[in-house]
Amino acid sequence: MVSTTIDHLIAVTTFLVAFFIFISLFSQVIQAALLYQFHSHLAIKCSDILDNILLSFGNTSGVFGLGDPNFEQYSLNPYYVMKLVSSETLVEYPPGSGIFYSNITLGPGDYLLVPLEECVTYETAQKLLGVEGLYGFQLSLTPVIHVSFSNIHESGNSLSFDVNVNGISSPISNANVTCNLFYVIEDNEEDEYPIITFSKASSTTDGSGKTHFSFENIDASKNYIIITTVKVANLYGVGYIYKQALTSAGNVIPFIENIENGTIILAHSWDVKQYENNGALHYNATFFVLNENWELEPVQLLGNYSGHLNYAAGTHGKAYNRTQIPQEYLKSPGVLIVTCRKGNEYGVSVMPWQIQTLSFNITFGDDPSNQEWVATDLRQVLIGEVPYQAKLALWSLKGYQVTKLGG
Amino acid sequence: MMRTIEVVIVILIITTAFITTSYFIILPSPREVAPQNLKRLGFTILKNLDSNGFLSRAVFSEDEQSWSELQTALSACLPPNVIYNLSVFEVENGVYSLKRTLTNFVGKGAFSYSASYTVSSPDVTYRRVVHKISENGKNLTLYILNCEDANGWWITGYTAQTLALDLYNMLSPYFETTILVNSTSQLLSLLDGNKITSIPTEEVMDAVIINTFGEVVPIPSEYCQGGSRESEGYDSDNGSYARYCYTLGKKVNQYNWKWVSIVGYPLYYVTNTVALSNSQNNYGIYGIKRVGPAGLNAFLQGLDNKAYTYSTSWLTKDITQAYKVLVHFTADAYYRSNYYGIYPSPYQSASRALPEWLENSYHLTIEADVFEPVNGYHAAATFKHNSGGALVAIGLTITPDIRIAALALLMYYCPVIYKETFTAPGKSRLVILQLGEMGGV
Repeated sequence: MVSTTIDHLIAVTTFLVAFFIFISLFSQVIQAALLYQFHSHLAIKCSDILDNILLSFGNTSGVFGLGDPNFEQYSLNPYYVMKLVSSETLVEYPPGSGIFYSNITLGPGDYLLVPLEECVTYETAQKLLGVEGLYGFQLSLTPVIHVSFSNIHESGNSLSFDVNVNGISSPISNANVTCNLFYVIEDNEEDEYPIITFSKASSTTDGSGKTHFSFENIDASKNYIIITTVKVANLYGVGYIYKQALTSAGNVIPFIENIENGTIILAHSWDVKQYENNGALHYNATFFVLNENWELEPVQLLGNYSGHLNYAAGTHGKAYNRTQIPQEYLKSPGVLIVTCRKGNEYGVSVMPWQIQTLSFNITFGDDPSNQEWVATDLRQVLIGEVPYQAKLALWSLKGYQVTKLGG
Repeated sequence: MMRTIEVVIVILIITTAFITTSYFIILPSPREVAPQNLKRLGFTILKNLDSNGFLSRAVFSEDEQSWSELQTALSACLPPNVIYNLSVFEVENGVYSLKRTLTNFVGKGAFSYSASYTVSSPDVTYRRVVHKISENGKNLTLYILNCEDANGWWITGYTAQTLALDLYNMLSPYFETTILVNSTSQLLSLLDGNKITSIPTEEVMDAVIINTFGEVVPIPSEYCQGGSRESEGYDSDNGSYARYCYTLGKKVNQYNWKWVSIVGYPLYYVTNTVALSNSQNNYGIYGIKRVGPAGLNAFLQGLDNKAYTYSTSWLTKDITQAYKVLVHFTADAYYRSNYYGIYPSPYQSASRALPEWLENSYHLTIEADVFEPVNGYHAAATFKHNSGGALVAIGLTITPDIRIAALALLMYYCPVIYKETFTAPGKSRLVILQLGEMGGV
């Protein structure tokens, strides 16, 4: 009787232990399979949403899209792209006015500040895509052709440098490179604003994607900006570099006040709370249009394209100066160059008119780092004739073990 | 002792079962779980290279410089972990002969994905003018349901969004205006007779609406239980969304729409991933609520302006199962398939064919049969109401072939294509870009 009971006890205990071990083992396999299913679904969704964004036209109400209805599929409208609210901190100008600008700023002299009221926010995009509360995403647009500069030498009245052209993965050989050198010409009058002129040269890259340029009989001592366009097959790339962005009084920061009519505010950098440098600046804004042959042509701006800006002007009446791109050039890609001067110091700032003219990057949406699982997908798109790599990172905001804790 | 031995035997059996199961369960590699859509990437690269006609010029060029430029551009565009193989074929009299290959990979590469692109010689101009589909003297608008806040069913292997994209590419040349309906709120506007874009040529009246969600139809949250229009969307007596299908039928009649159901039993479910987030279709897909056969019954009542009554009578027939036959193209379908260059399989299995007697019961006329009817059942046809509106029902078996839906529409409207006949050989080349990923698992 006792042995039967012991036998029974051992048997039941062993069975229960084994049963739970196997339940655990099987559930692990099932759990892994379910997670794979979720992840696979996320990858498909990522591909769908990326196509939706790139193929839908942003000119229709209730639609979030970047496609240009006037061109073929996967050609993006540069203005829709400019209106994406950058993931950088918003800029308020004039301070305390409650007017905010989306801030795509790459450095102290490179600006693209677009009024927030004309922009599309991440939350709006989520709603229009129908993924609000379900998925988070980040869309990044990166130029395929990357142009950089090295070995810059200034001596007397000459300037030489190397231009390096790279694709996404490798240097690009035999690319046609055109360099436009804009430099400040002599100006001794204390109250005068700086004037720029430009010179041009062309070359072809060698097997390592490099080419050398040398400009003679130019004055590189004050300030200059080099804008380089590259042509590979039918694709273009742009790169630029300048000598110095800031004077001891800061520089002039351009704000796009209205994309539709091309009005641009020129503000003192001290007023924008970017730098502590103060002092009055003389400035000169010049607009260059990129023509069909990808050559830069100067265009006469309207309004106060040159003049004098005092720091702290925002608190003393007049807040800024305003210039305007002529109506006939509003649809053309171009570059705004603003040179400024304080005594013998010369600063510069540049702003693309259409995102591709200076190959600005765009990052739109939330931050994918710290997410549990992020699916990504790639497409190649054209903005103007500049190829960009469009990358969408997508993650789930709902579901078991597919979101981060508390996510 | 005996019980312990029995338990040991049981454990051995379960262990064997687990080992056997584990042997057969092979989870895919992470790359297969969340793959990059290299096919689409390849296509977009080819498309960009062909902007301004560069690709056409390069592949027809005898000049090494052009090929070199093409190779440089390709290498520049692709991520470092992606290998490529670009093949150019001459197309002559339907025969493909390899002209040239460019690759950045030596050895045996795993080229898993490919995109193809046909180019014509730069000194040739093809002309293909499509007469836009019109009715009552005006060009029609095509709406394709692409709602992000909706899930599909019976479209296994696809998503509604990919189907919408393919339909857009296939049918937009035939319509003056083609619009993707991207959310159920846009669908709500449409049901109210409002335009959903600022495109001046958009016309809500007489439009064609394609439901890409298979057996499911998107429902705006306003029509859901607890919504502001619950009385038009939810039959509280029977706990069914058949009322929404009835409303839909009335709207189809009111606006003279052609409602296209691409596969399966039309209006068998409703979907809204927000309002119906807690419902599932009995197969684990959330955001979907079953309506059953009552949906189509109610839709037809609405289309015929009858009073709403809740009816669950089953309308379709699985003719492949019942009569052991496949349905096959009508003579007109063969002709139109060639005419429009749409080539789905002419033989299909049909498990949701609609009966002919619907004509008399709901004042319908059956037009543009894609497949020969079998014993009074129509596998894919347009059921046109005598006072306006129509249901284009493709009652084929899962998985959907949207080319059938496209063909059914084109057979109904018969738009004319004016083609320039061009017989010179060697003026078309097919470019295939194969891509593969290196490294990783």
